[in-house]
Order: sequence, then structure tokens, then C-alpha cells
Amino acid sequence: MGLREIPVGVLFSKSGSYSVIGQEGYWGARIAIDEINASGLFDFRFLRVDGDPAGLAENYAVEADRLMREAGCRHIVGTQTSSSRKEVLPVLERGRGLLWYTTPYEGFESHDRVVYTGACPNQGVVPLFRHIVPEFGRDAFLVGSNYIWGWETNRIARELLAACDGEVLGERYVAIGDENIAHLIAEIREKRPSFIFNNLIGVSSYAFLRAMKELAGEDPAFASDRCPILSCNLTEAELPVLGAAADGLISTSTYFETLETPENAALRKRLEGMRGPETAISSMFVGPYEAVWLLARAIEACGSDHPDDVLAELCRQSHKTPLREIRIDPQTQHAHLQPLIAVVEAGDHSDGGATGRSRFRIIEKTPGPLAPDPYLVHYDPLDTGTATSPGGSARMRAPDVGSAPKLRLVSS
Amino acid sequence: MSNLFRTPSFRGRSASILHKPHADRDAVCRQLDRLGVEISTAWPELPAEAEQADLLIFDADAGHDAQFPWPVDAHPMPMIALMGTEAPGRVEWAIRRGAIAHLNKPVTSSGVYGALVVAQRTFAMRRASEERIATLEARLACRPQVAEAILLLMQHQDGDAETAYRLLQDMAMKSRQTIEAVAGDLIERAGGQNDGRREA
Repeated sequence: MGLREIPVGVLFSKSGSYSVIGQEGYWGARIAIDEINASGLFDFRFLRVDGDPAGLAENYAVEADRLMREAGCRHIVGTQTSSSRKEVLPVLERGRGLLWYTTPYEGFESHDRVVYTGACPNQGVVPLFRHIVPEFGRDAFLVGSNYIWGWETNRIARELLAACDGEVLGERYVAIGDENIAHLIAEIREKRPSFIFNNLIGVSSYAFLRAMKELAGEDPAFASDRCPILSCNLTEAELPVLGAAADGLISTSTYFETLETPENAALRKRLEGMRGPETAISSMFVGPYEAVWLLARAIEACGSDHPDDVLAELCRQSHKTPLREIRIDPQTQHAHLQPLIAVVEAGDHSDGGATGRSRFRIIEKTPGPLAPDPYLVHYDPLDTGTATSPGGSARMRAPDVGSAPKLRLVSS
Repeated sequence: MSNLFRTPSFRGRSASILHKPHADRDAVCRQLDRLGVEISTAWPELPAEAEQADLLIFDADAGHDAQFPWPVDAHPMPMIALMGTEAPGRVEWAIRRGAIAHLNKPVTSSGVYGALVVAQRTFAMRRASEERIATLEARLACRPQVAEAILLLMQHQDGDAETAYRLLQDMAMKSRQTIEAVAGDLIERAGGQNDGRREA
């Protein structure tokens, strides 16, 4: 077939310290590329070019440069940590390429050479706290790994709590990779918060969650239905690692495997055939998967794979992926997304089949996709006095449908 | 709650940009727009109403004093310099003109928000310091009146200086005025024998 070939860079750490999510991202992009090439829908095919920076931030720019200069990629799907994304930005500027960044992140960036399809804080931590605080209380204990994600997400949490007269009973950080968390558990036990906000990552998080589960066994005040542990980035990909320690955890994401839509049911079925029933689908998979589809649809619509044309097309109208319509905000180049909140429930282990897996039960959906607000321009957490006035500055940026939710966490 | 760090927001603020039409100016405008800032651009001269803007971003490469409608030592708002050349004379001029943050050319997608936060915070701190210094200077200038008021009270009460000073403090507290203001009142009421001022 004489289809023109468009090289697409797939830049994920399939090895290294966060390879669990790196593999998910890689497979999301890979399966989407395979589907697109086999679909017969397009007058082009994607040529996948892989790069594996092995979890080392300094390798990302080298790999991105190779993908662009040697392999001719003008589109790169990938990078998952903020530090790796920042490494790639100068390469994109030089080569005028486009990065498809699909991971939730801490916001405060809007780069011309990046399309952001992961949640920023107004689509993650803000709706999460709005759901949790009225139910469980205003006094939180914040933990995190010692880097920008934890610092910034906890800083926003602190601001949200202050806005509703809540209190931060403690804020503690541990080095990435550190599993020595006994002192955290002791302090939490003493402080007795209403809930715990966990921004630890990787093995530190696993150690912490296992220890908290033990604590809950000794002291019922820390049972997950009384003092829940919240996360903004826990996905299905990590549930098998955690096992029973994950039960009762509450997480926010813009995708859960259990999302009940005909499109998601179809995706589950397709992937089960490909990856087996034991492999969960997570937002870490779906993000790159949808991004590659979005790229194909935009190229189809504008007839060009030039990054500037593709970007203009994305900003002109929404485009359909196999899961949903995605709209990119022209001003910030971030996606409109529907925040979901879900709790981990243990599977039924009796039959040993797919139902044996833990899964997320969705407990809240916002009424529709929320416009992105990466710089938190459109709310003022402390300006609670005007929350009820129409157009008041305490309102969140209005969602696409339904009434605008207030930022206020506790109504009075 | 007052010492809580709040997410800096620039929504609804106005910014003037003094720079010729150029890709760098466009890049700055794009980022300011994303932050909800209202933008006006000018070149080669800033109009008089630019003095009302909340922020000024100016070209340090081709800029000169005649472009500004206010004197060089007036710094009416936070200012950010756009720097291509780092020749010390240009940097010095930008600082003298009031720049408290800068952005390197070519301007890319990052840097604008950080520069805005630094400029705004530094400007607020400078303003607060200046106000504090002005207040302290005004009080310092009233030292002769305070001394005179203490003398008056000593004569009137036939007491010592310490008692007179405490009395002055009490009067200030009760009337919610500064000691200097109360001292001034006392001298005036006493007939201003010395016309409120002591000859050296």
C-alpha cells in the first residue's frame, strides 16, 4: 500500500524506578498506533519510534533529540514526571516539535510546544477536596515525596483547607525511594487527622500504605471509612503491587477502568483479548492511547502532520477518540476533562478470575468536562465571601455543562 | 491565615508592554493572556495613561528615558525588563528605570509567570519598606516636640522625666494617637510659647 508514513516518537521509561507506569504509557501509545494502522480509516500510517530514558531525567533530552533529528519525529508522546517534561522542552523549541503530555501534573505551565491531556490541579485536587472535606472533616495530614509534585500539590491542599478554616495537622516529606516511614505513622497516630493526603510516590507510597493498613488494624479510628487516605495519582496500574493495602483508598483521575460507558466497555473487551483479563487499564495507559488517536484525527481533519497545523486543528474543534470527545483549550493547550473520584474495593477472590482484582468504584463524577485552569487563574480559594454571587471570583471556571461548582469546600 | 502563601493570581491586572512589534512581544502577550492579564502595547513611546497600569514590561535593548512619561526615579508599578544584550550599561539602565525582574530574549513559553511573581512580590516589599521608613522618619522629625512636651509635663506636674513620658504614653494610648501627635497637641494647647519648635 502506498500510505505515507508519519514517524511518531514514543518516549517512556520502560525500565528504571517508575517502569510500572512507563510500561503502561508505552503500551497505550503502541496499541493506539497499531489500531490506527489497522483501521483503514486514514490515508497515512504511523511509524512508531521508541525511546527508553530508563527513568533518568538527563536521558530524556538526549532521547527526544534523537527521535526528532535522526528519526524525523515531529510528534512525541510521552514523559511522565514533570522533571522529564522540563528536560524535553528546549529540544521541542529547537526542532519546533510537539509533545503530547498525558500525565496529571501540578500545573503552572503552558508551553507552546506541548499539548496537555492530563489533569491539572483544578481538575484533580480541587474536586477531590470538595468531595472529601464536607464528609470527613477539615483537619488533614499531608505527606509527600520530596520533589515538585508533592510540594506543589500539598501547597494547594494547604490553601484549600485554609479557605474552609481547616487545619493542616502535619506536613511531612520523605526522599524518593525511602521506605523508612515509621516516624510518619507515629505522628499521624498522635495527631488523629480527619483524613490523610498522600503524595508519596513509588516504593515510599507502598510502604506507607501498608503501614497505615496495619495501624487501622490496631486502631479503628484509622479505618478507611473514618480516616480515608487520598491520592491524586494512584491508578489501577499500582493496585496489584499494593494488594489489600489499597482497600479503601480514594483517588481522583479523569479515567477509571470501571467507568461505565459503551465506549469503555468496548475498550475493556478489546484489551482483554490482547492483554488478558488480569491486566487492568489505567489512566497511565489511556492518556497516551487517547493522545495518539487525537493526533490521528487532527491530521485527518487538517490534512497535515505539521505540528503547527495539528495544533491549530486541535484548538479549532473537539475530536473523537475511541473513548470520548476531547476538546483542547486554545488558550492553554490543556484538555477539558471530567474529574472522577473513586474508592478502591477488594475483589472477590473466590473464583480466582478477573473479578479477583481490586478495582475502583466511582463515587463521584463532575457533571461535565471542566475547562483547564493550569495557573489557577479563575478562582480565589480565600475569597469565600463572594462564593454565592453570580460570577463571583470564588467560583471555579465554569464547566461545559451544568452549573458552576463553587470552590468552597464546606457550605455554610 | 494571614501568613498563608496564596497562589499569586494576575487575573484582571493590566500590563503595558513597551516593545516594538516582534516575536518576543508576541510570546510575552501569549503568556500574559493565559494568565488573564489585560494587555496594552506601545512603541516607541508609552502614553501617559500607562502610568495607571499594574505592570510594565519594557525593552531593555532599545529602550531609552524619553519613552517614559514619568521621571527616571519614579517607579510607579512593578517593572520587568526584556533583555537581549547583557551589556552592563543596558542592565544598569534597566535597573535605574525600575526593573525588579527580567526575561531573557528570545522569550519562550516559560519564565513570564515566575518573573511576574518576583516583580510583584519585590515591589510590594519595597513599597512596604518605603512606607515604614517614611513613617519612622516623620516620627524622628518630631523628636524635639516630644522632648518639649515632656518638659511641659514635668513643669506642670512637678515630676521627673520618666513619669512625664509615661503620662504621654498613656495619653497617646487613650486617644489612639501617636506620642508625636499628642506631644504636638500639648504644645499647641500650652500656647505655643516656642512656636512648636525649639531653636537649636
